[in-house]
Amino acid sequence: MNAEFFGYVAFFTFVGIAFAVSAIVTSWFLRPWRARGEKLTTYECGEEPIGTGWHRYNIRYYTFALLFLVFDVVGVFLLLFALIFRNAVKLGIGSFLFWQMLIFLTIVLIAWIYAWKKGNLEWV
Amino acid sequence: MYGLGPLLESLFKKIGVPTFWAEPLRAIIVSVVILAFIMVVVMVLLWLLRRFIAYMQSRLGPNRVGPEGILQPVADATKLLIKEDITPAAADKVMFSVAPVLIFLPAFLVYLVIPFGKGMVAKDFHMGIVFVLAVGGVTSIAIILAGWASNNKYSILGGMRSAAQLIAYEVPMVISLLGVVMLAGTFKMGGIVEAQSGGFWGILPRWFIFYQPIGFLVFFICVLAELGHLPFDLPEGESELVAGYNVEYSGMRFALFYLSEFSNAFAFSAIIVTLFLGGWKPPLAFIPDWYILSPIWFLSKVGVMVLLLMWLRASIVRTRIDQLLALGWKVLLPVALFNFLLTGGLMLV
Amino acid sequence: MAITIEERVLEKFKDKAEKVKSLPGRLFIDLPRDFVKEAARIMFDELKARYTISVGTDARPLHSNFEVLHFFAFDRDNFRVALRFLVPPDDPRIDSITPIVPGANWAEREIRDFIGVEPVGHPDPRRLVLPDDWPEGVFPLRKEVPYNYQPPSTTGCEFKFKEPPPGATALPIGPFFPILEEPIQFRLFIEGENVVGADHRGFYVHRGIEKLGESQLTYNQIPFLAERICGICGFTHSVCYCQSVEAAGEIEIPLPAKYIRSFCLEMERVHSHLLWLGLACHILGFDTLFMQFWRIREPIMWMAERVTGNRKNYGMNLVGGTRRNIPEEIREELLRVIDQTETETLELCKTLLNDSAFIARTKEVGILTPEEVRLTGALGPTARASGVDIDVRRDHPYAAYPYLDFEVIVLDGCDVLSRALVRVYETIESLKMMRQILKELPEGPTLVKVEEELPPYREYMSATESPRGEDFHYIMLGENNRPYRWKVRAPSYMNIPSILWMFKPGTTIADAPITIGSIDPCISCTERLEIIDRSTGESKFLSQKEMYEISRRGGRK
Repeated sequence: MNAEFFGYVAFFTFVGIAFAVSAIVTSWFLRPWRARGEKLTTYECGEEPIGTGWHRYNIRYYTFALLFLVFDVVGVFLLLFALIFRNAVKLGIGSFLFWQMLIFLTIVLIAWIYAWKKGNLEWV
Repeated sequence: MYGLGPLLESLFKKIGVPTFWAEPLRAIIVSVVILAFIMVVVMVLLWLLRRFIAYMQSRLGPNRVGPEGILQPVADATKLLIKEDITPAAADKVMFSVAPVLIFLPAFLVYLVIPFGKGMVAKDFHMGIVFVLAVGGVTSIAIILAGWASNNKYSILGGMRSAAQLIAYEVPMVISLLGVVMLAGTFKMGGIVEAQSGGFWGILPRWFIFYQPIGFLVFFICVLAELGHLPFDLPEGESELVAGYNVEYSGMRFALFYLSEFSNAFAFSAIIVTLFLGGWKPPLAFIPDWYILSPIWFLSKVGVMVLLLMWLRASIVRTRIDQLLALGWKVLLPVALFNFLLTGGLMLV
Repeated sequence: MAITIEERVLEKFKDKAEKVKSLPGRLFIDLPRDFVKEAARIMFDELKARYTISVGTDARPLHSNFEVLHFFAFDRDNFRVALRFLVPPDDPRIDSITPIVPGANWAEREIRDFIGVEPVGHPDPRRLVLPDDWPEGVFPLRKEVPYNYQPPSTTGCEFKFKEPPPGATALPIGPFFPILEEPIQFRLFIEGENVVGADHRGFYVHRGIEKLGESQLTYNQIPFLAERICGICGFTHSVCYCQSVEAAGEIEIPLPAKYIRSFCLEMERVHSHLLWLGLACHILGFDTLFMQFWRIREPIMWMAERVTGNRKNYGMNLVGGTRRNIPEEIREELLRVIDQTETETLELCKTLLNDSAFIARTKEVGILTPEEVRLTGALGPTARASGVDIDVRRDHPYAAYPYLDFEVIVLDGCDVLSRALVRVYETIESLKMMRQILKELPEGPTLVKVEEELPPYREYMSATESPRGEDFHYIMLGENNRPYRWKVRAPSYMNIPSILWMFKPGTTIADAPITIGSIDPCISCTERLEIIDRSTGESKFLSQKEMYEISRRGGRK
């Protein structure tokens, strides 16, 4: 089942790339080629570009990335929990699992509140 | 088993395709069908969006090419195909070309697990939802790449914003889905649709939106953000960032961004319908779910969803990035977690 | 007996004044050149006068000196003062008043560019108006320079933007930017998404209208030129021009003409404010309301056509009155349009102001404090939204405003939201005034015949309240039916510099466009500019310099 599915994913990936590339290649043959001089400059409101766009960015972007990482991993845990929870309830171990999950979430929530208080959820 | 799969199999048997080739052949046929479907859907959506929003804004919208302007998207596509495609001299040329291809990939791959009707799914993977989330994550990489490779200040800011936005809304999105997964007990798209069979008092269908109203709301808002639609179109915020990450793109490469955007709009509407609105199930519980009608139910529900998205697009002010992130991290995340705990608690009772 | 403001001013300057000329509501005081800073301080800080503008005049043919005039206004007393300083041509320098009056920044640079009088001690002595390739030492408003003179192109005068603070990046907004209808550049210095500083450059397309008015056109041709200063609020310029000529030439215009001028001015205000409300929605990404505002604006444009024959550039004004009356038979129709516009405006504004996202985007954004209004000289809705109660219509009554009932809308939010609200309420007030005018409009001739030969070298200044604030014209009559000096100061000339004050710490890139938009910048007004169309040959690309070259040859290749 898995192997078959990933076969499909691989094939679709191939088709997707092939489609996108072929679209670009088709236009390659059809389109005009007159770009030179000012046409090749970067758009900056009609002015000559000031320096490069590759400048340093605020560190805030990276704290967001870290937060995301934490919560996405939490998401993965919770997804697996959610998957088996229905059967767990049927088997009668639901409340045991639920309380465990609650403890886990409390810890995560404390981290979340900490991040909030530290101002890491603010966009500066 | 029913559906198109067996139909194809019997067809292959009739022609005498060897068993070894049956599956690859099916894959080829399915991929071509889906590609064609995406093209048609994107063109219809493009036309619909422009006409619908024009109608809301007391304008006419495109009405010249073909009856009621229905061929306008064809004209646009042709124009973009033969339009000059400029790579700025300062750009990172390799990445600049990779980004549009990369952005089209997730938009296309998502269709792999969408059940269009009873048994009408390219491959109903048992990790369906996880696959959708995983593939959706690639979009943000492509957008950052596009912004960065352009070496343009507006693009980079657009790319950064987009990244911050996508990750801020991915978290509540995942968590808002937990309720659905708990109720259905499976990640499989087909399984989730099946879990929504039956009805209350034989009339109202047993859709998850009735069990998970909070989850639905959170998920819907997150989808808006993931799609970059108004009020969350900050990555392309025209009035502040010109066009955001795709400022420098033109011609066919720009067309690929556009294509992906609209293709995603359909795909995400389809996912909302599958997860919360009973997928291809009929809208009233007593209607038998005939095989032949299932894609029609599905497509009309998706259509309603798409119109809802467009309606919102025409009637809300663009938010500011700090307001947007505050909503994601400080409101949607706790609400989604609350929904998760509530669902768990109720299931225990 | 209370002393009048005139006596108070004269009291301050009685030792220094070389010559005093007193006109009704106007006072011209000649002062020695080295007294300029002290004089500005007395007017601005002690007497709390509002700085209006500075004008430079090449008066060498009259008394072999340049003149620099600093204008101040006392709004509570309907009184304007001009301080005149004579600058000898062999030493064209005068102390800058910008350190005391920050609002004089542009005006002094403009005088330097055009007349060649150097402001000594100016904190920002960069070129303001003239293009980069204009040679040093050629001053277009000097009388020996013909109006169509095209000096040879030079290099070395490139405009230098300020350097961004360390660690910040420069991000230009404009000259070609989606939300800007006209070219202007704000260079934002950003850290991440935060604006930590800004610089401005404008005057990309200066038209030299003043020069044209001073050299080629006669008094009665200029109203039509004045109207073309701006595509939105042109009528206010033509009224303002006519008023100053009429006052200088002591012409009393008939009452119906006053009513018609007021009517057209209010009509202009309504369509301008509706246009702005639409644009503000567009800037915030709310295109539906943008379209709706422009839809309800359309009947007003229709009304303009019905009343004047044109949607824009009404062509109604002449020195001495207006060209026609509003016909009796269309008044009923006009009243209906006014009622309809009022209902629709209220309805749309209710929608807009009930939108929490709109409030969140505008509240406490782009703060301009009352003190900053005083320093920058910001005008109109921008000032009134900061609690500064100035309105030319009430403070310096003109046209039919003394006979009309209206309220001056003043709010004290100091932010973009207040500026929007001021415009909303003003639109309603204007519609009320239009209704009153149509009901009370007297019959009779609307024009007095003016002897074209007005007595030369009289001067006067006049102001009108344009949709964006006080529009100010200074005129000095000349020979041959032509003004000797005609100075136009559009409200945006004072408002645009105030934008830089609105970029306070905590402003983000997303706030910048609506902040810029909030003063309703009218760049053509400010620059009195012209766009020269050019047709480029196929696959030929022009550098900025080449473009200047071609423009300079009048568009010929």
